[in-house]
Amino acid sequence: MNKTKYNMIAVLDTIENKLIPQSFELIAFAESFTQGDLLRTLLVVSGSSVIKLCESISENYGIDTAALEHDELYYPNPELLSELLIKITGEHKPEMVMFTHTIRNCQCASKLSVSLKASSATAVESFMRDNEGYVFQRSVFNGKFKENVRLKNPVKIVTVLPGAYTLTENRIPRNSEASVIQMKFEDARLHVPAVKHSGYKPLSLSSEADTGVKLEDADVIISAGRGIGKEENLELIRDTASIFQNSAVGGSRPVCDQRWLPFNQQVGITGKSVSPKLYMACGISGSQQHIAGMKNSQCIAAINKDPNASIFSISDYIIVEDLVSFLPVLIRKFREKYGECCEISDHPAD
Amino acid sequence: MSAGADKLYNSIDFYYKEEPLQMKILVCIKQVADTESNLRLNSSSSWIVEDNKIAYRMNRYDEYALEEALIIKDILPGTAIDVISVGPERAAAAVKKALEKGADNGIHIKCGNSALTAIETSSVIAEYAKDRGYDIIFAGVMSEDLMQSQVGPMIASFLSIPSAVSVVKTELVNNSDAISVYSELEGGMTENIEIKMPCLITVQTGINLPRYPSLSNVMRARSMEIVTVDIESLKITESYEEIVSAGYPPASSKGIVINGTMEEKAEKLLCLFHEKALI
Repeated sequence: MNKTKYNMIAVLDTIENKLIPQSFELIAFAESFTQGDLLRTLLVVSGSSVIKLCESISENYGIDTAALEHDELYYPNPELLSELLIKITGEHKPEMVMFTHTIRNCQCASKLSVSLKASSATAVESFMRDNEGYVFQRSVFNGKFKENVRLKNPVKIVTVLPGAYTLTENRIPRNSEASVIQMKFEDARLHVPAVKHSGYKPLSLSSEADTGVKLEDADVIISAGRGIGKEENLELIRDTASIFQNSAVGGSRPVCDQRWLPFNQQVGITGKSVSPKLYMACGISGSQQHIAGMKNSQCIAAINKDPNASIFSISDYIIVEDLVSFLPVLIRKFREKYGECCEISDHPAD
Repeated sequence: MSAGADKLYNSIDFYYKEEPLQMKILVCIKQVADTESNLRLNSSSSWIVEDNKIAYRMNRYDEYALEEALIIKDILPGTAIDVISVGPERAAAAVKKALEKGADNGIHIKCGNSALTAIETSSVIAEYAKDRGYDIIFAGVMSEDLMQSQVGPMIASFLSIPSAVSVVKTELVNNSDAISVYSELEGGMTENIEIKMPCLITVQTGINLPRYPSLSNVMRARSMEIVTVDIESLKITESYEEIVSAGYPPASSKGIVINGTMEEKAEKLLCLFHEKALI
């Protein structure tokens, strides 16, 4: 192992030894945080066999990279990963450990925070430096407000919200000598105390099978949120969708939780990420988790009766109305104006 | 052991054939301000105004956590469910609600500060829970107000028990101290994990359909005393973080607010769609 003491550790976790797409945003965050000096930053890539991946990252980005390998890291295993990271942070005593914001990385951050007495903040969107240290900004109250949190302790842990930082395309490697370290935890001696937690064992991974609607392929998505009030009002959403070509109906998490729409029609971090030509959010307040899944849509129209709904902050067209009264008017107006040239006579006017 | 092969209990369907188990379950709940109610920042922008214009209710994620415990109790009637909440005076209402839904004991850890950080909240809950022999501790995956997703795994960490997060399905395994859980990852993936009791599980919404209190349980809850514990009497880990200030998100810069009567708004919107060749 080389002798560099790293003051920043960025953890790039993998699923089945593949990086998640947002991993590289962490490098952008690290670059911003260190003001471009990544000589004392270590990228830790975790998985069961990731040394090749590390070599290519190190070569492409010119940053020291460590392969943190353990057979039981093939599937996400935040319990084991955090125990291994506790060991590594104990050696390097970094000022900062950062993760991509995912729910399992919040678990890692929490465990590290308790074990290392480290300050932590999850889902951070930006940071500020002042003479007392660092203040991190994050959303609270479902995106209605932002809070600024100071991390007071010597070791700081953050999970960085996807989409908050982007890596510039033509980044020039700063350190052509960047090295790759292999940390293999298979030796019983190195087997960390955590494996007392063989009480936690990932078994398999599955993706929900797609049936019917392909949200990703639609040009127009009309999405329903909690504001639809009752299941019957989904008809209004379907009728609205019918005025567009190649359209589909989506929903926010609460609508799917109610079983009003199947989960494969859910838009958001925990569901589908979509970028249609038009995304129409009906009665969706705009939680972070939803916005992350649709903010790249080419055009966003939002209808909400709450003038302060956070969805409006990313919308192109803002309509402050109750969708239950507004959508029938919209559909009627459409039929009056454009009705003849389109074939949408399946749904009689209300 | 082949996980799930011999199910005792499942969120949706279940069976058991051996002696019914009895479990001791703790559910962590938080009372939060309803984000749909009139939330605004105080004059010094340090936190939200807490007045009678704000409606408080049980954190939605915690309702699902509580329901998951109640389902286990429906199947294994000997199960005891304790509900715990850390918060100001008003938080007792959320504990009461949980009793009305069918929890057996309510514990309210009373504190003045309504914005405790995750490490503070988790340290006092862990302090209360240790040595009480809970088989499962349930919590919501996050709170709707602070959105940290940390209190659950921190409690587990303080208690040195394993935790599984964002769980969308649980199955008890017969004749075993293991639970097969399905943890929701981002992007529609699910991971199946076997976790041994005692353990902590944070619950994602949609795992079940939370019940309404039955009349008999509402009557039962009336005579039930909530155990109130002063936070000062428990060992609390002092916060590692400090909330410096709060603010509104930057106002929309790019959006066009469409004004007029409802009819005018509809016409304008259709016109804009037409210009963009969307209709």
